[in-house]
Amino acid sequence: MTSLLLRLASGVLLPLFLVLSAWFLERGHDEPGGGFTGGLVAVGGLVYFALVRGPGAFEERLRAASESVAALGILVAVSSGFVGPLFGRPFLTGIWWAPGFGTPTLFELGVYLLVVGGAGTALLALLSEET
Amino acid sequence: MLLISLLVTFGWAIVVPFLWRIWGRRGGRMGVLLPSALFVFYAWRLSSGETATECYVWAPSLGIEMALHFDGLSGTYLLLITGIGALIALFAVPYEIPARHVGGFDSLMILFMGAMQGAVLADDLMTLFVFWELTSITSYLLIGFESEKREARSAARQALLVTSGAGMAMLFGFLVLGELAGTRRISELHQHADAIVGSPSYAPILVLIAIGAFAKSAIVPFHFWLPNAMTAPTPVSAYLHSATMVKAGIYLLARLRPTLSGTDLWFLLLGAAGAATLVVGALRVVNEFDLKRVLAETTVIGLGALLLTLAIPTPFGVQAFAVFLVVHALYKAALFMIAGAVQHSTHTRNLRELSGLWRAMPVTSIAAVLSGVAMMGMPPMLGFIGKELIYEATLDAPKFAPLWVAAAFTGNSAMVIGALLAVHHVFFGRGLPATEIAREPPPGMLVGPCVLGLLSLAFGIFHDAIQSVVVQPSLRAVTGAEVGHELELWGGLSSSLVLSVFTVAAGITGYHQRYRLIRLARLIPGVLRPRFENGYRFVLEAIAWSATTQTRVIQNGRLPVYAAVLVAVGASALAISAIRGPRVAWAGTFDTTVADIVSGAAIFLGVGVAVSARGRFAAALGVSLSGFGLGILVALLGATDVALAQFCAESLLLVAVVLATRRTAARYGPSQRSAGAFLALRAAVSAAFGAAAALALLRATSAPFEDELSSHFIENAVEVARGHNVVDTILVDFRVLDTLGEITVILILALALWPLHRGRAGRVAGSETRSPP
Repeated sequence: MTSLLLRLASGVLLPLFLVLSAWFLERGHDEPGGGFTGGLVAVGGLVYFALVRGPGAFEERLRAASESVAALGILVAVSSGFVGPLFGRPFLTGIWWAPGFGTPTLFELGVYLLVVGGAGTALLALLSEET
Repeated sequence: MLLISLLVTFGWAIVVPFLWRIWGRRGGRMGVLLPSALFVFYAWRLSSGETATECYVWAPSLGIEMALHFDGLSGTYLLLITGIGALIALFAVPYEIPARHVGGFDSLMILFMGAMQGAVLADDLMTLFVFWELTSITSYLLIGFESEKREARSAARQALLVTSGAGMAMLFGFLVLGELAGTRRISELHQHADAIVGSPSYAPILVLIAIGAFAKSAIVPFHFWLPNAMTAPTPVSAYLHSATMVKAGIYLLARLRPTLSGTDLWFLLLGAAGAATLVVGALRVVNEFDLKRVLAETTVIGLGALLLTLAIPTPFGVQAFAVFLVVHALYKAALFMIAGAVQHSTHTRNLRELSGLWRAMPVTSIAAVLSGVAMMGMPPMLGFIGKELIYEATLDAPKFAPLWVAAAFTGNSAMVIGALLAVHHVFFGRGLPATEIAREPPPGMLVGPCVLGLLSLAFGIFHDAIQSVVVQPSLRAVTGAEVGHELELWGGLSSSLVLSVFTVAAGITGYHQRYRLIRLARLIPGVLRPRFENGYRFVLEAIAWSATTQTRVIQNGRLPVYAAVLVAVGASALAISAIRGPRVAWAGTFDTTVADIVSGAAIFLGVGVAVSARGRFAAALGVSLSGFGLGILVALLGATDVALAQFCAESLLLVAVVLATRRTAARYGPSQRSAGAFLALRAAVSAAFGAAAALALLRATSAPFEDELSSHFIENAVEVARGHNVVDTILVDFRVLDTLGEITVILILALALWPLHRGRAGRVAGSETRSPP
């Protein structure tokens, strides 16, 4: 897969995918979108990139190991749950600091990261099966 | 304050590795700071004589709270945990442990310290259970720390399975106890003691909890795991498996003594188990030739003695318990550290190779003598007072007193033998050439044994201090009153003193006639031979056999069979729910739009392609097409979010399937011979699933639509969850715990696939380096 056209397209499409995914993530609480969808879109872009430029390109773009991103995601999601108990509320209770920014936002970010890392790991496992 | 001290300990477990990485051994020594500070804090709390209770919300919907309670008993334990913990941390710094620089070892030790503090502070049965299991897990990781050693792994697994397996029984006992008392607060349980003891569930409760406690404290028949756990690094043995964790079972029984004691069952169950442990440990100790295993067997004896004192229904029993608890922790931790120092200097723990070390290691031998004399129970050490109290308590027992005295006598004599083996033989025996190379260990390793040995001596002489600071508060916590003997070194010519003299005489004789004792012990079946351990092995092998058999049948490695089974099970489940549902009443209309028809056609086309395809790639495309058609249909119905997720997932799924098909044969399907039957079976399964799903859907839509839940979400989305996308508010706010579970599943899947990805990459890299240029 060394077609010049594909290489060029992957370079142009990846930022588009990432912007789209960030947009989905940001608007998710009020409009269609959300961390899960956003994460899948990002993985789609990265996987396309990796299909064209080789499995290594995925994590090179991500600048981290995919499983670390997944672990970071669960860390963020679970940590957001512990904000509630700090204020004497049950685990995972939504706490809002500003309009549009609260622990549900953090949780959403955790889901996003987890999907990017988790689905990324799964697809990379299949990608790198090439011998 | 109690919760903060717990949290600070757990935080320290994160800090310690960085101390190691930044400052090396100096940083390791800094690790001592926190345990020392906590020791001072708890000592101050204990000496002020006040109890304290703290309660925090944890899982209110399950009735679980983070309740902590500080009183004399927990205070005594906390002093042992933090005080000995600080000395062990110092001792462990020069100790050689592989990959030490990473700091994981010290982190685990501090983590254990936090778990153990939590276990003795817990005032809620569930909180106690959580911390209790956490000590089992940290113990597992620490025993198996040198994980490249096979025996370390198997000992770690054995300790974990025995203690936490029995912990399940204990949990069950806790649940029944909590239901019966109507509260899970330990400090309130004793108010319901009469109702509990009188109920028919009393015996099961006591037995279940006792199983958990016995396993943790290596009481017969669970005694075998403790000597095996000696494969752990010595700091672990000294800390977890002599002074702290193994006493957790005893702690639990002492804690529940006000609630569950006062019956013959309590007295006889605990008494018999304690006496049996004393005797079995005594018989086993003479047959050990490894310094640490000798000490471990005497720990088993000590735990038996502690259990026996708790069984005896008099305040003197509890007093003997409180004193001997401290006595044993002081000398046993010290002797383990000395064993570690000896191993550090001579690189062996084999008693056949160790002898006459006192010339080479004079300071160590002085510390060893102090603790050894305490272990033998000789005046003026605190150990003497402890042993006297055990004899007085057993002599005072209301029933079967001679039996308990005999068991205590056997155990104490074996203690003398163990002390002589560990101290007299190692340091003052006939010198062996192999021990001439020995030298004093680094000073950090000697601080602990010296301090603890001197404390044994000091508390023996100034026993009023220990009486007022530790023993009376413990008595108050366990019995509710401060009755008990005055502690004294010289109590006149009493029967306990006579017993003590005979104990020492018997021990010295036994030490010199050790090989005759071994022959004697061999005559008794099942004591030296690992009969109980064989039981453990049998269970383990049975589990492994059953797992292998099941795996061979269920996981036969044939993907079509998996798929067929999954779909068939799904179809059956749907069919059952569909048949039991309400009658089908067609409420649908046929006012379909062009868009509906187009998307529906896409679904049918996709199915048709998938069914008729001869290659995997075409089939995958067909399935994907029907998925997209479904997505469009859902979008037309107004569920934009679902459709969006469906599109994204469908695209990635297609990529995944295509990637996977690259490695399988392009054409698929059965061999020509069985083609017909194979196709028929698949068609039947698929059709059944489709029919069941359709039927279930019709049933579901026929029922009157219950919109209480959905209207609740819609009404509260903006106000409570502050979002206009109701689906998203459900996902990240209303039902966020479900989402957490779901994303955890994704993580688990990713981790399961991870070795496929990394392992392959590693192998490729390896093969590259090996390939010729």
